[in-house]
Amino acid sequence: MDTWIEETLPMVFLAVLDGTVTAFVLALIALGLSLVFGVMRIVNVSHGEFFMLGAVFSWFAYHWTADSVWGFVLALLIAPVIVGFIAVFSERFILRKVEYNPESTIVATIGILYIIQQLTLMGFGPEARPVEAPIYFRVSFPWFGYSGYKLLVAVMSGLCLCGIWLLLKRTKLGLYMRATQQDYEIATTFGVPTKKIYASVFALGGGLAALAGVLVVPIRQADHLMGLEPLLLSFIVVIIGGLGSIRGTIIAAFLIGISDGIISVFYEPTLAKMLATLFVVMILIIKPSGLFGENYQ
Amino acid sequence: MKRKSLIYSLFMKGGVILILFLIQFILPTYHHSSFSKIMILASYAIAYNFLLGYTGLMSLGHAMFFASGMYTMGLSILYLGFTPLEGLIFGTILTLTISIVFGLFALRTSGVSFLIVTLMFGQTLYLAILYYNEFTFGQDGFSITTYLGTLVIFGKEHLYSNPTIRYNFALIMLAVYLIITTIIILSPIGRILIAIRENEARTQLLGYNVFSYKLFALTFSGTLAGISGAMHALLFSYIGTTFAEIHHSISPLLWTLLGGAGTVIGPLLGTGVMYYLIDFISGITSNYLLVVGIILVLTIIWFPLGIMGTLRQRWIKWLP
Amino acid sequence: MASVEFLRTDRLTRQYGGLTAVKDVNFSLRNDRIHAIIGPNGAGKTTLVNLISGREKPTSGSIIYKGEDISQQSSAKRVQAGIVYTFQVTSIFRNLSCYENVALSVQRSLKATQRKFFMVSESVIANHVSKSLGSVGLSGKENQTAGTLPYGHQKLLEVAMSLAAAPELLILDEPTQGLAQAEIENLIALILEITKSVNVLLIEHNMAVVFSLAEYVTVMNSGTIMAEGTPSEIENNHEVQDLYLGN
Repeated sequence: MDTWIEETLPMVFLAVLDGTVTAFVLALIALGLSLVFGVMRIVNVSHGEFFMLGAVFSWFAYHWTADSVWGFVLALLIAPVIVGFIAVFSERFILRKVEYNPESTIVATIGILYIIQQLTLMGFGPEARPVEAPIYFRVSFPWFGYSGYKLLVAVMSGLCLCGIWLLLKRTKLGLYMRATQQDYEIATTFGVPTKKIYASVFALGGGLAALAGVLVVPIRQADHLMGLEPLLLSFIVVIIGGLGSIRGTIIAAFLIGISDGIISVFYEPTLAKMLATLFVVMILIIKPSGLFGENYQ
Repeated sequence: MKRKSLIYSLFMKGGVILILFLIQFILPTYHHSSFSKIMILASYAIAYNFLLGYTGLMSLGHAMFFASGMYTMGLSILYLGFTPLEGLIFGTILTLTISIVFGLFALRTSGVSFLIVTLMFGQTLYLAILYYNEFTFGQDGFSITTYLGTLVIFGKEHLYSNPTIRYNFALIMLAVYLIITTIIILSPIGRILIAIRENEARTQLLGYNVFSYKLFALTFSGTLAGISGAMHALLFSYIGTTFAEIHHSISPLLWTLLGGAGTVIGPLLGTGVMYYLIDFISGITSNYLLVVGIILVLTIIWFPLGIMGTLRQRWIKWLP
Repeated sequence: MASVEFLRTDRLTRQYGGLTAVKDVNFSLRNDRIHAIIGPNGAGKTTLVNLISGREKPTSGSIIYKGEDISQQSSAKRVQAGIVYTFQVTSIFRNLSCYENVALSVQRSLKATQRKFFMVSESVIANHVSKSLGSVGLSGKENQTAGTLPYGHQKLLEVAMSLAAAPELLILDEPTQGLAQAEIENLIALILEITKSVNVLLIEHNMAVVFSLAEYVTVMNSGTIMAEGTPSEIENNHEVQDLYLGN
């Protein structure tokens, strides 16, 4: 019994720690998806590619500056902006053209996914490339040491989440976003620049994903196919949280992130993902609109 | 009026089938084999279009059905020593069951949630195939050529990989799919499915149990997709995870949209056009997916009805 | 025909959050009269008929139709039982032809009456479709796309679809809304024709229409029934006069 505790408890602790870091990053990515859905009522399938672009730009910044700290800072500042511009561009010239019809948008964003992914493959190459972490220190716990950078990732993601919350609650942009979400027509009549709001929300969503990409890349490597997994995980989070509910998204991200962490310690990651999907099925059987969702079509 | 369009439409399909039958005698070897492949994939697209074009349900997980038909066929021949016919029947029953169970869950959601749920289920099967790689050979896949035996027609033995056998089996399947879907679409049931596509709430208020009709459409579409997968395994004797990937769920969507969703010939045309386009581009660059992406975007912006849909809207109204 | 009560609601209530749209309503329909519900906007008329047709579920209370509690049945089940709702804002299949619109309705009612499991022959359907279209005066429009019809005709098509569903209780929600005077008169004649074989429950704002059609009137206000009676009783009811004149 005692040995069981000695062996298992540290593992569980590590799992919870890893899971929490994952959860923070996941919350950041899923929040972008959720904001876009909430305000624009569309699902952005290319969201994972924005994340991947963040990671890839981070690699370029690291190589261009040849310094892990400056590269990281540069990527942190530049990547979300560039990705934001790419998002605005695709919003203006593609999504607006299909009038944000939910299904057309999905097809169009699948197209954008392929385009971004293949262009990256052509410019970046097929191999996975590592990026050095800007800081290196280990936090020592009684049983093991833990990467300080991972904790930094969690802290920075948490700060971003707070920033978004302030943006939504305290700024004019946030007010406009909420107004547009409530009723597009009425918001337009009351002088809310709804078109600009759409573009900003799409850029903000993409920027958040890119930011997550920059944060994550020193933990894992950058490659052109890395967008799919966070996309699927964000889908799971957004569905469980309830489409369009910000609060639900954050709570679900922690639920999924931490349970994924724990399951991954005891089972293979592939199985963990399968179990996560089954979890979604269970939620849907009980409550088709998600935990905090309104009933959207 | 209705009967007339059924006859017109079957007549046109008969013509297409006849042409496809006749050109096998003049096609050069390379195109002969391409056409076999296109016909198999087109039958998959027709199955997909039954759900998207006529019932209005967009799925991003159809590779799940295709792959379950394919793997059931392959694995049952490999491990259980089934004959191809037994494998086909087993595969059909299994995909039928999977479709029903999946539908009972997935159809509880609608719209965007339905799409995401189909996508994730599809991905789960893909992960399951990778996870049980000792049994399924994971990423490498496997071949069943040596287990297949021969097919006896008029006392003569043929291999399943014989080009003539392959072409004509594919053609028969395509013909059956075209005819069955046309008949269902123009029947009272088809009318209800189209009504669901057009206005689901109103259909419910006409007294129809919308859920069970959607479940029927999903099951029918899924089972047909599964049979396509099983036939693909039989005729090309390779079973691999590429047929379970998300790309393989997006492909029939692309073929259907390009050819024209909600038209019976559209998926066949879309499959053919894309097949040759990718074939051509692959000769120039390995990044053919870039072109797929561009075509998806351009189609949805400027050509949302697809080739046949635009034709129907402009010129030939009776096209089903 | 003996007067029989065939539908009644028992303390029927529907709440939306803190708002009570229909409150403890005991309402009854008899088979020998055209019944109209009137009342100001927000009185709960549409919510009440939504509850009866099954588009919404009650918060509490029950609906008894021909002796059976149907309050938890789906809207599709109720249509099959003969309760047919005709929309206030036309809800037709805009991209389909008039023929297809009515055929959809015919097909279901035929399947139910003929107890056929699979299919009803198309010629039988066609026969019924042309009868239904003829009865509302839309003969010859079979192949026209429904969405391209003028608004008045769309309303008539909606009525044709409802009639084709073989209703026992036809709920008409503001049938005259958005129609021109001549069209209204046609519609009144049509409704009088319909009521020979079908029980009609009418929700209407236009008082002229109500008083030329209804044989019994229920007045609703803030979610409850305020008065009931024959049209002349209602006309002379002081409370109702106050409500409408705003005194």
